[in-house]
Amino acid sequence: MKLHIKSMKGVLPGSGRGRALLVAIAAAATLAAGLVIPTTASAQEHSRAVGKTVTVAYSPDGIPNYIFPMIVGASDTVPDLYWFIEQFYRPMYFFAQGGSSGLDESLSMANLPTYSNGGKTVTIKLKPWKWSDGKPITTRDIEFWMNLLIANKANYANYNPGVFPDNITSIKYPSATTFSITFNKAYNHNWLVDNQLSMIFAMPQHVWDKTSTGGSVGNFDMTTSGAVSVWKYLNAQSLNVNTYQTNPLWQVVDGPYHLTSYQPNSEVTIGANPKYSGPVKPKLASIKFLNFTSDSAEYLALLSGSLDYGYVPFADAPGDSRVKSLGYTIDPWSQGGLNYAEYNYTNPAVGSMFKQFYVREAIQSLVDQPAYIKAALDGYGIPTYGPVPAFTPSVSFNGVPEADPAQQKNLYPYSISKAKSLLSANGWKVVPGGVDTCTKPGTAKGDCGAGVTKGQKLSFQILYPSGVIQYGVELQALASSAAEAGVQISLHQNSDSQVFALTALCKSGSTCPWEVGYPFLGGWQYGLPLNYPVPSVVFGCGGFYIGGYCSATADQLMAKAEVSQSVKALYPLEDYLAKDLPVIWLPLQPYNLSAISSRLKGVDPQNTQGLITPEFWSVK
Amino acid sequence: MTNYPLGREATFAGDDVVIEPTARDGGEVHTSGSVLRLLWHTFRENKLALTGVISVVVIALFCFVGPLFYVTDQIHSNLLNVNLAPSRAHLLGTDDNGFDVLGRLMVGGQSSIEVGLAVACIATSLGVIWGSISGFFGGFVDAVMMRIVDVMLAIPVVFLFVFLASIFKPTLLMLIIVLGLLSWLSPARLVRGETLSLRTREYVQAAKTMGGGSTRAIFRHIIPNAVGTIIVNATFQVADAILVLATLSFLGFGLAPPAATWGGMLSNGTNYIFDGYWWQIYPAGLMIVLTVLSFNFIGDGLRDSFEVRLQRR
Repeated sequence: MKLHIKSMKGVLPGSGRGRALLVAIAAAATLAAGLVIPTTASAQEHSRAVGKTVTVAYSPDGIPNYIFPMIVGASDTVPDLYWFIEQFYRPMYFFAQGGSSGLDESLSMANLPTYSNGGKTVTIKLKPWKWSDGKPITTRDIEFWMNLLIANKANYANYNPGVFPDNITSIKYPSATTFSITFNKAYNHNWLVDNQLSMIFAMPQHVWDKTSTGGSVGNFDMTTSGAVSVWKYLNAQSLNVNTYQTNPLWQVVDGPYHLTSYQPNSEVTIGANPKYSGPVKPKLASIKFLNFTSDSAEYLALLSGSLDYGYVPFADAPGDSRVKSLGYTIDPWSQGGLNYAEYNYTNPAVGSMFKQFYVREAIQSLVDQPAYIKAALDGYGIPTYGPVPAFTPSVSFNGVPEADPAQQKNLYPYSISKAKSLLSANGWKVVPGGVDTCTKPGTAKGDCGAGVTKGQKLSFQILYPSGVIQYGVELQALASSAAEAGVQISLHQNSDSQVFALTALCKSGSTCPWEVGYPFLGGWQYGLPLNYPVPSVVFGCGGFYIGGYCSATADQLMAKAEVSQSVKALYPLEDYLAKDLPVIWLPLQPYNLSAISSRLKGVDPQNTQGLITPEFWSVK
Repeated sequence: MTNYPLGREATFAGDDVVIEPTARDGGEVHTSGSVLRLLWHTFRENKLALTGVISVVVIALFCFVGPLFYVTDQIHSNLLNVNLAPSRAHLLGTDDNGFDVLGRLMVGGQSSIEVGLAVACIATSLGVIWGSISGFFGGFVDAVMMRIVDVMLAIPVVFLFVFLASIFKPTLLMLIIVLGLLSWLSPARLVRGETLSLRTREYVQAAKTMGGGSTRAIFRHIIPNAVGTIIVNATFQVADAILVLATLSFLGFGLAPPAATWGGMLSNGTNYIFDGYWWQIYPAGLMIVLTVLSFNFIGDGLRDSFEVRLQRR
């Protein structure tokens, strides 16, 4: 049929040429806007708040979302969460101030424990500290914490079955300032203080011991059911971020600061607590913490001079002279920790592969940490070869280093040929550029291993956070190397909190769909509750944070290190974990490349646990 | 015979409608020949549209033929060559994974063009069928079908993709399908409007009178006579799909690495904006702008071509 031609006017979409022009303008504007470098005013000309107020940047999307110190795992997804909580509620024992990694007794609200009963009983005397409302901090506040912890331990992020508080046989509170805990065995003193007693916080029982907002304060915590009700109430209040600023629960603090303003997803302001009992009184009237959605947004704020304490993203490290010219000091913030990507041993599809040591060895042989440090971290960072990398400052107990130097060496150097030979020697058909498949299922020598089926592909997915440039570079390089050995790695991004929630918080033993996870700063920083490197909460069977890794040998070595008074009892454990590859060891980056303005003093040296202690800060 | 206002008349020859020029009062009517020639004459007078065509051809050759001559590895990282400035070895430098940027532009364009064309095909096909059925039957059927369209138009596309990306790993096929399933709404409304007008035409009435069914009427009369609208909208669909893919990739919800997309390149490049690595930003942005503009110019040109009053008589 021949066509009937009619007018199209007014019928077709009206965008056309006009829209094309808009697209061009919008694109040009976007590019131009992105290239508009803020006028680099000097540090003195910027618009930062004057007077004794400083402005600090959180990590991207790092605005805290929980204020109750008995943190639940689901809320422990924000990197800077303890920056927030520990300004208001300090743990009984405080660690890692002044560039060291050890206990700082002066900042702690209790004296070091004394031991009795063959080392099973510790007696702790509280210092005469007070809450911000003038009430003294007493053992009743400690008892309140312990009662809630015992009744709700499964909800606590730092709980690990078999240890605190499971290993307690009795607690006594003979006076308002002294209490004693008897444990089921005589533990290593360092481990006991660093990893067990470090979990204790004082909580204002006279304010928080209630089960509803309108209810009165009582002694509900003295019964298990009451302690559960109190915990539920406090947890619910803590999850309601919109009420932080006005909720009277959070007005009584024992830390150097109290919350004055909380704007969800935007900013947090804290003000000095004039009743703070610690030895170092806050000198700043207030501190404003700003939330940024990305490293780029934070960097832009830094360049505009609107931050006193920010950071330079690793991607921008080559150009940090620009920041220095504004009067900032760049301080790579060394963190005492270890970095890794986690295997999910419970995943039904790939878990059986990860349980084969030779597979883990092959994968680790595909990791080139020195190259990652140079390319992704601009040379900052150190390799992680075992549970205690060579971070500085190193930690010693009575002159004995906690780290065995042997596990700081690379047991699995980068070698694609090694990976190929390992796989082919264990029943895999290696297809460089393709996908390896298991050709010899079974458990005999030279077979693929238990649970690995014939034809199964050596293929898995790594979940990592979007916006973390250095992780993308590392993982793409790993995937590239792996492809040459026929190990197919696919990369999947998501928001960091989502990655953390899907991986680290997916209870081991249950069905969790993730395969390998690499959350931001998703390794482990030595700190609460793991100051002494016996990582049962991380690598122990039933540990909270790893995808079902369970080694009877590791557990035995941990148990030995927990009770031996010799620091060197750590060494067999460290060596075993370094060798057994429970995770993919990856470079340990500095916590960030801190940018500290010239007007801000007292920041250096920074806390190696990634905490900030702004009571030490002052401005010119 | 029926007189048409533009100097033509229609006669029925079997199932066909023959359109022939009639003599106007005052003189002979001269035609330009076949319909396609008429369209081409008008189109080629539009310099921007011609430029658009040439650009699209050049871009397609760049993306699909270019890699045959400029061979680069866009799969394996090379950490020894990260963030290199343009040089003889790498004409547009390298990115933070050591990938050659020029080679990556070529490969990235392949997915952009593939997605654009595939989405346009899917969206146009679905939209045409939906809109023509809705407009032809009218009444209750039209009301229900258009309400479905309205509801789906209210879905924010970007948020939907963010949600899907958090659950599924985005693949090229998934992006094409989801984008296609969300993009048919606009052509559906357009074709529905056309159909409402066309269904009252005499030839449609005649076809029904002669026993032709609804299906025949829709597919033999309505749709062919709405082809102008359909084709023009399809070109804009291509441009839209390329923009949406670039947006999603820019936000980190596009194809997973090491797959290359222009939006992903632009997103990655902006991380180094303060380091002066301009080669990681401008080329990708320029390609997006050029490609989208080219398709828009073509769409404009086609629209003008189908505008009868612009055609030479």
